[in-house]
Amino acid sequence: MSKKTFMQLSAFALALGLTACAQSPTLNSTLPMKDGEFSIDGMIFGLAEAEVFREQYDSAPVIGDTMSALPHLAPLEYTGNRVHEVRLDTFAQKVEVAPGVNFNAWTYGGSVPGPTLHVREGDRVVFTMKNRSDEPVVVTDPLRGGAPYFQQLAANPYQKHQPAVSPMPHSMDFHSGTVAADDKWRTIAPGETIRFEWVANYPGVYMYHCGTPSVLMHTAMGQYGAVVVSPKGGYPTDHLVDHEYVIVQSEFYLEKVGDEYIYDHQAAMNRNPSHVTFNGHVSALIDEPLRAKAGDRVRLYFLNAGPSDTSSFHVIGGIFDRVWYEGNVENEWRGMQTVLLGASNSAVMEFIVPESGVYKLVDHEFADAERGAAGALIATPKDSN
Amino acid sequence: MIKRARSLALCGLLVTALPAMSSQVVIPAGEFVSPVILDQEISRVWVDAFRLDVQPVTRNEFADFVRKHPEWQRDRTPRIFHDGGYLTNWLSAVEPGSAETAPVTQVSWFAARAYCEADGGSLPTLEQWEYALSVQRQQANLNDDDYAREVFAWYTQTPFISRAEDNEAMLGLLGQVNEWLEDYQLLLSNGEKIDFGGGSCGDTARMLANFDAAHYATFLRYQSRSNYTPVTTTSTLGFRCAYPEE
Amino acid sequence: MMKNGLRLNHLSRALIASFLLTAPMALAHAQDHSHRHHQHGHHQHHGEALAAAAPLTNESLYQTELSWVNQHNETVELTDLRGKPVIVTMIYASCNTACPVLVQDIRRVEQQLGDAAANTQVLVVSFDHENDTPERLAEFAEQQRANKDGWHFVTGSASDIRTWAALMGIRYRQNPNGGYDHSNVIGVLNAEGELVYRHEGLSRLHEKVAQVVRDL
Repeated sequence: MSKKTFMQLSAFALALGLTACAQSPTLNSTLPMKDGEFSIDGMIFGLAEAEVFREQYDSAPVIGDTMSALPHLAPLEYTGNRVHEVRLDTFAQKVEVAPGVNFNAWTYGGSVPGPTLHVREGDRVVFTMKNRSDEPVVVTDPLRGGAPYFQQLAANPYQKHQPAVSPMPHSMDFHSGTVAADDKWRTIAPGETIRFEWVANYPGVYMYHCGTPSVLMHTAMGQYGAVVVSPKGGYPTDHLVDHEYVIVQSEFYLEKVGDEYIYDHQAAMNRNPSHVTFNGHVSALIDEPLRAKAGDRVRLYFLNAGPSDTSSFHVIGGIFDRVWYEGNVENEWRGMQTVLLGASNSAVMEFIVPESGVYKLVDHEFADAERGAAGALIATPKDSN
Repeated sequence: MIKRARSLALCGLLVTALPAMSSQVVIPAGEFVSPVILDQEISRVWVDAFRLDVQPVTRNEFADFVRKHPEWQRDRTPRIFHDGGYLTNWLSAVEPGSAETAPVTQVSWFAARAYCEADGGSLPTLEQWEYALSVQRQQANLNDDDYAREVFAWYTQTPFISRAEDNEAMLGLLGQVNEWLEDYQLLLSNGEKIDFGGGSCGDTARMLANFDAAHYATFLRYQSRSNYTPVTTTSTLGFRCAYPEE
Repeated sequence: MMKNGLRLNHLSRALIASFLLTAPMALAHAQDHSHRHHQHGHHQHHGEALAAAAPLTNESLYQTELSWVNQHNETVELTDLRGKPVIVTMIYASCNTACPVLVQDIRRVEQQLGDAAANTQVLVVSFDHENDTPERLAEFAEQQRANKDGWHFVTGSASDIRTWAALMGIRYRQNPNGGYDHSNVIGVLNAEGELVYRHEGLSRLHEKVAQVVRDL
């Protein structure tokens, strides 16, 4: 056998092996289509119209076993695809974004950013949201049946959540869904509930936000969060990853009037934020840094929620070994020092922790880092516990 | 009561007070330049003089109305006229139970309209109400930036002290409740798709007569009001009535 | 100059005030009647009069007791429509874009329904209370080849029109050219006047609408 033939055969075998691998765990478990839906390239479109209705509801405002508080990502403890019954109510909450700086935010689930939803490519989400902006909703006292989000929030309530009332029409726009926005993302008045479905046709890290005009104000007021859609076949490094964290960068535009902070529209239009944060507080990832050991492979699911600025994300002392732009395995980059993301862009980034020490996470646009877009990862020695 | 009397006196310096109708003021006729562009061009319309309630209708006043018109008591009003929340914050069908002089809220557009009709008036039109506010803003010397702050603060329910030089002249049009209007629903188009607030996602440049914070704040009021349905009842939605000026 | 739509007619105000206030009363009376029925009291005669009309359901739009004038200059009370399904839409006669499409769509629904169409009524309410006189509406109905039995092209007071639009979830406003911008809606009321179907947009769903009517 010539070397050339051997190479060809090896390449053939490798191709076969890769194909088998890509197909192995999940393709047989695709969820069935419902009446009226259609399929293109294995993806599902043409979902049923949204329902808007009224319900008496004063129970947990966040439901779903894969709904977590930042920086956590809920594990997917199932194979193949499933249906997620997810509830995420929208309501006002007084939150702190910097020491002594708190404001009546418009939120999903009571935190800014809102909870992170984790699903798998091909999963179906049955989503329910009540506009509870006209009632005070407590999130620090977890209700039965609520998502793991509440325990995580209670363990680290860095936004010092207090119920607030700020009646306002709102809506929900999942970038992870492929639907007609004038149906599913429609605006509902306080007291109304909307229910619709979407199918996670594409893998990636997606923004969700309020799409009610004016979107600038609704997002600047706090209505956004992340959805992680893990690829059907996973990322190629899944078996090597030691830690996974979710980071959402966003800007706040606040001005002090009397003793209170309110939305500053002029600053928002001038893209002159008062604060830029990771996970909604200038100290969120400083007071409770991310943790790893030397030699660990750390994966970050990173979303720049904006509403208007870019993020140039960098880990001081690290190089991103792999980056999947927008979180799609097809978009792979290697050896990146900084990842530039526009508003609502995202990336999955991995780096190997070189040694024990402190690794600062920054938006390398330093005017933003100075405004709060900074955090830290603390690494202990390789053989520590 | 004291506050109301005082506001009337101060308003009297600025607009015509009506001794016989102590709870109303005359909004003088004038030109209204719409701050929101609804028809591709800036519209200037002449608004005839009309009378306007000095304050939003109070819980007590609405209680009087439902006593006289039992069909508008919360347990009798058909569900086509409200969303289920109608006056649910009251002690009973005819008693607010507390805060009697506060603006009535949790009333649907249908109920608010019935009240004004029974009183010989009507809900103000969008143009009447916004025009009244523009007149008041001028008289109170409320500058654009402070006006914008006041609107944003109210929408987020943040305690706020108005910087209007003459606070009382504002007639409580800002800072109390969002108010029902006769024709409050907007129509914004996207090509052949004509619909309400969904016609915009915040691309306000095509809809603001002047691109500043004050106009943006006003647009926020237009569009958030427009997103309510006529059956909506919420804790910050009330109303006042307008009457023809003979 | 101030827009005409804002000048509200006193008479129409009084009318709407009275219907808004009497509508729930009608309901209350009807309930009283059912109570009396067991007593066989001396209100027998009055009771018979009321027996003609069983109580309207809580979702019935006929509780508004709106009153219209149709293209034949006849008064049409909403309650006159009770007993048969009604296909509803809103238009104005000088509109030559969406409005004819809506009317033609309803004609196609009738064609789909075949003989069953005889048991269906159509209520076309005009936005334009100033210009759409019964004569103008008759002309429009002729142009649309829809001036026939069971079809009511109606006008009313500005206030009544707004009430009806609110109940139908239709938005409209007069534009500077004197026309109206409006949402395009076709709805179906069942025999009791409950809105059982509503479609927004010019999607030509006449087969779907016909199916809704057949299923009633």
